[in-house]
Amino acid sequence: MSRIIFLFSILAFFVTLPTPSAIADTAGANELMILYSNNVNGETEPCG
Amino acid sequence: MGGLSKKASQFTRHIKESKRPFLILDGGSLLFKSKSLTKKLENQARITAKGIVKTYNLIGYDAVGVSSQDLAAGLNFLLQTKKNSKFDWLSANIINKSNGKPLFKPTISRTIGNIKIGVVGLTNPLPANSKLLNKDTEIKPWRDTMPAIINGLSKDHDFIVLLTSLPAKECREIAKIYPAINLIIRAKNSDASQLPTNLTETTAMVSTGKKGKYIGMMNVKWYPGSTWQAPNHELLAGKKEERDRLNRQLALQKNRSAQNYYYQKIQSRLKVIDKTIELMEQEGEPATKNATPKSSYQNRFMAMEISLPDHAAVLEIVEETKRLVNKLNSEATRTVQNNKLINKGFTGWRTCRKCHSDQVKNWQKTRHASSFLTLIKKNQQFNPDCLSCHVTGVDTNDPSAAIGMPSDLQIVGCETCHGPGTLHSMNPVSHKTTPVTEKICMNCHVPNHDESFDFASDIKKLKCKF
Repeated sequence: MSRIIFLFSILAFFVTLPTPSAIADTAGANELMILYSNNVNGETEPCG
Repeated sequence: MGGLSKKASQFTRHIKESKRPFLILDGGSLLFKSKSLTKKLENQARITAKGIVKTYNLIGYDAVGVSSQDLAAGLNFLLQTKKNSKFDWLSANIINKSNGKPLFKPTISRTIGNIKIGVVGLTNPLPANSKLLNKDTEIKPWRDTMPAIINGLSKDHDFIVLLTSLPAKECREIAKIYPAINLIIRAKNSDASQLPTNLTETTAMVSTGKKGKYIGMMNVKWYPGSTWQAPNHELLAGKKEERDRLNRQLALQKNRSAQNYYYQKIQSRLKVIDKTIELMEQEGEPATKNATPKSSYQNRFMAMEISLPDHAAVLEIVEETKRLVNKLNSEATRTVQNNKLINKGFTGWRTCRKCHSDQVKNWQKTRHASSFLTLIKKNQQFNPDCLSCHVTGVDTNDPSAAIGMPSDLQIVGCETCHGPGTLHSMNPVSHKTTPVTEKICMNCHVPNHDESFDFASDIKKLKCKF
């Protein structure tokens, strides 16, 4: 009986764990990073 | 500047290190140095522009705003460039007159986490007499195109970004009329980066300094329908960062003269920053009157890191671009002997040596005497953008004059500082050379190229006393 209870509790633990993708969706759901530039002005490489 | 290969490495590193989802955007004025190109420099500018686009493809940019400066090689060139771009060129107001349709994508959409982001581009107008557009094309005023665009975007987007090259005054007006725009990334032709400024409660504006020397990184926490947190904290941190940077620069200048132009410039900037910090600290953080969460951002400008390794694939693109530019200009050299400088009265250092051999001997020990070799080592010896500061007698406003010039002038020679010497060499009594002034040196030794230049001490290195 105690083994069955133990197995059920293990099963319940895994059922309640969020999947990795769910973690990614909720953590920082309102956050974003913007990398930006402007006025590169045709520059590629220093002269010397 | 560190160059595109360093910039690509920096981007790659930040993207790898950051666990946040991201967008990569450019406000515009990407391809060219100026709004119009001289015929001599147009082909070179086109080659360079193609190299930049290949690099942006590799970095993985999402979108670039079309600035009127990006039209400098003509609309057809930009339309062709668009076809070779893996990112979107955005402009809501470059319109085909006959069917009223835009020639570029006006907007793009991205979803990051819970936030649906709309990005829109607006192009600044060209002068009325400009021939860069085709006959059936026009740049419409933003007042005509924006209402429909913003109405459409705001229906199903949480966060709207505007990429534009419009003047700041017009951006402020746009922010007031369209509170749905949350961030303006403005292509601004200035050396200094512009910290984010809240134009209204819902719209912030930001710019990086010109020539691609900086990358901006903005971490945004956005609650749809909310307003921006008062930016005091962010601004204060930015001002303190700037104060630290200026103090470091001042420490580098400690052995220089207090009269040094750059030293004085830093000192006066420091005074302004100190006063601003003092006022901001007195003001303190504004009290939160209600519990509604406010949206916030943290912004950083990252200077190019010279110590970073080059991005191998981008370095290859840059090298290929330089090879093509050199090939183009060296072919031009073979066909055209440039006598412009001879006509302007320049004679070359060998003529000066006939009477001033000691001075020439000293000069030959300086880096001025090997300035052209520096370019050869970097494979930039046919690049007019570099040549004007590495040869004698070329007006920095007309660098194309440096192509095909006589070999005696392919150094920073006597006449760079003392002026054209042909007449002086024929009759030194009646034709005196020009006295050397700081202004002459500042044609090239500007802070952008030479941060530690100090006229009073550096002139002594040349030992040109007569």
